[in-house]
Amino acid sequence: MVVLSIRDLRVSFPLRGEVLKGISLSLKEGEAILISGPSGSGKTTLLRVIASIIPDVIKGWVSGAIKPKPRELKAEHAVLYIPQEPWYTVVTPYVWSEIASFTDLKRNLITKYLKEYGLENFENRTTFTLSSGEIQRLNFIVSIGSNKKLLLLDEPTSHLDPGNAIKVINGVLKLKRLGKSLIIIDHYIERWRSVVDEILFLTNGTLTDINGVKDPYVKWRALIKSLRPPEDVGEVICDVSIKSFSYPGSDFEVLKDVVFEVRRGEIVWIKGPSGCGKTTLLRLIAKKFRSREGYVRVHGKTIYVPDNPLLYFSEPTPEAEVLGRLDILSKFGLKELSRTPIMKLSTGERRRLAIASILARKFDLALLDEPTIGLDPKSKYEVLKSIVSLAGEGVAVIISSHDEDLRFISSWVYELG
Amino acid sequence: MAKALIKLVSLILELILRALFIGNDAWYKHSSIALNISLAALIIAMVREANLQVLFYATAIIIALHTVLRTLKLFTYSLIMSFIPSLWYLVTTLPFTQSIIESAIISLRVLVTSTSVLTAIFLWNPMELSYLLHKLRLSKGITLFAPFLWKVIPHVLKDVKDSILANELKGEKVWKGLAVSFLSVAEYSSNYEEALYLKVDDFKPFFRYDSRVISLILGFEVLVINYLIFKYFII
Repeated sequence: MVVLSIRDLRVSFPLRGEVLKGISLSLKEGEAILISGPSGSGKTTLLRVIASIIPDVIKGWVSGAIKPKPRELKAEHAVLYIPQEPWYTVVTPYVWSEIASFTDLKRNLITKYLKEYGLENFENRTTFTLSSGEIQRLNFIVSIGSNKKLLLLDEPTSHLDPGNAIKVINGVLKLKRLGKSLIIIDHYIERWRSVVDEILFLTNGTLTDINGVKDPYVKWRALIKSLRPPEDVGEVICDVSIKSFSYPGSDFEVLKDVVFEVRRGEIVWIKGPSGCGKTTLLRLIAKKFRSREGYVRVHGKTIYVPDNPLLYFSEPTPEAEVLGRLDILSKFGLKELSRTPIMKLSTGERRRLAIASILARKFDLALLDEPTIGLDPKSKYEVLKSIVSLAGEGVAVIISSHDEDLRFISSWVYELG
Repeated sequence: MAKALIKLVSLILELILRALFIGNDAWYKHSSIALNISLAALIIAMVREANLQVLFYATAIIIALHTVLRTLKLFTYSLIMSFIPSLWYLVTTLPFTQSIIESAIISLRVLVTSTSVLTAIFLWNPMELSYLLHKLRLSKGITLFAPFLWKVIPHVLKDVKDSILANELKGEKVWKGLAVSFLSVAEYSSNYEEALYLKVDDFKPFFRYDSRVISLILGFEVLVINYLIFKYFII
């Protein structure tokens, strides 16, 4: 049975012009289609149209035939849309309340599905502390309990380490077996090849079948692999010795026996699964932690860039943020955006701008939290290259991340958890 | 001075975040809003009388409640937070009372009042409020408000902490960090609007009560009511 049929779909926006130029596809019950393509090619636009977000929430012109019509799908409660940043889909404070308030599942079934999707013992967890992969799987349970026919997943593995990505992919397999149909957008084609029924490539607003074709990001992945950390390192900038750390009022020991030194020009990768204390460690270094349980000594100026790079900025434009140093913006490929409001920059551009600002403001130690999260391989390459340039200028860099690609630019790795 | 202020704000944010939002769901959070509010109101009625003995009884009741609920940490947090308005009243009433003892009693009344209100908030059941609004047939947007607030506030507080830290390290003014947090919240709202567009229609709030916390709070209310009857009608 055909769940969704699209013929000659065209979408345009007032300022961007035509984004989708005659898309046609068909999706059967229990089928999954993967759509890949470069950033800005219209992948998310396609999902937004099917979810009727365009034109109901985001204004745009839509023409062509979609059967059933997106507004009919909405009225039937037949679709679940999970955007790239899945934490925006969760509304209630606890895992049990999210499932119980959006489905008709009884307590015993909630427990059963939580176990099936690897979330046993999560029933009373606060949703604020869930990782991206855990939220994806929570949404899968909601889709089962609320009888959704069609799931639209926008880059479901982009924020995940390989282990959690496998859990989400296995979750998709289980959904297919239950007869759910899925449209998945992702840059990681190889991860999905054995799971999906069809792979399509969207470029410049048109779809092509690339079943059996190689990864279109192969060039950027090769460039990432070619990156190396600077060879010249200088004096010790940061000295960390933490015997134990727990948050005030908590008995849970977040960090234990963390001892290392970082030298000027080194790139250190703090690696570990979600919740192992990577961000906590960066924040303790930023605050020059000192207690009976340990210390952090920093010989120089320190800066911290949160996982949401917007929170780092203090000026409205890139030019002001780098204190007028256009040469530095040029070095990081941002000169043409020098007067663009920071709010209008993409996440990748914001991350590169934060790195440029660190150089312009002459910091000695940069603490970067998840600098590559959610980026496509091209943007990731540009960010990683910027980090290597920063270290090349003599800045010590400590990165907290679960992204395995950081191994190419790291001088050494410190594993937590 | 500015650094001390930043540290104080950070500490308070951390305490609010940990006490209200970070902790997992627990049986003592499955109380009734009406019971929580009435307990706080009864304790406030109790401390209307400005004497040390009454203040001692009221404090003992709050401590006893937290002891049986095994939430003494929450009591400590609420006490720390309550010290701020309490200290403010101590200082600002002195010129009017011209007596350190009178001002201290006012300050202690504020401390007990604030602690009892915070206790009611710590035991708050946002899903119950959502259910009640749903039963009143209010719009989905209003029904979603309470649980959504509980879900969103920790995100916002985390952002505020991150931007304050980044801007402090950059040597920038604190307000710049707060302004950036505001922009990030504006960005969130459009992301939430998009992500929840389809999902909101499915929302049917569901809540759970726990008989243990309900009976304990009721027990303490009976105790306070007995005291008030004894004090105002029998003596």
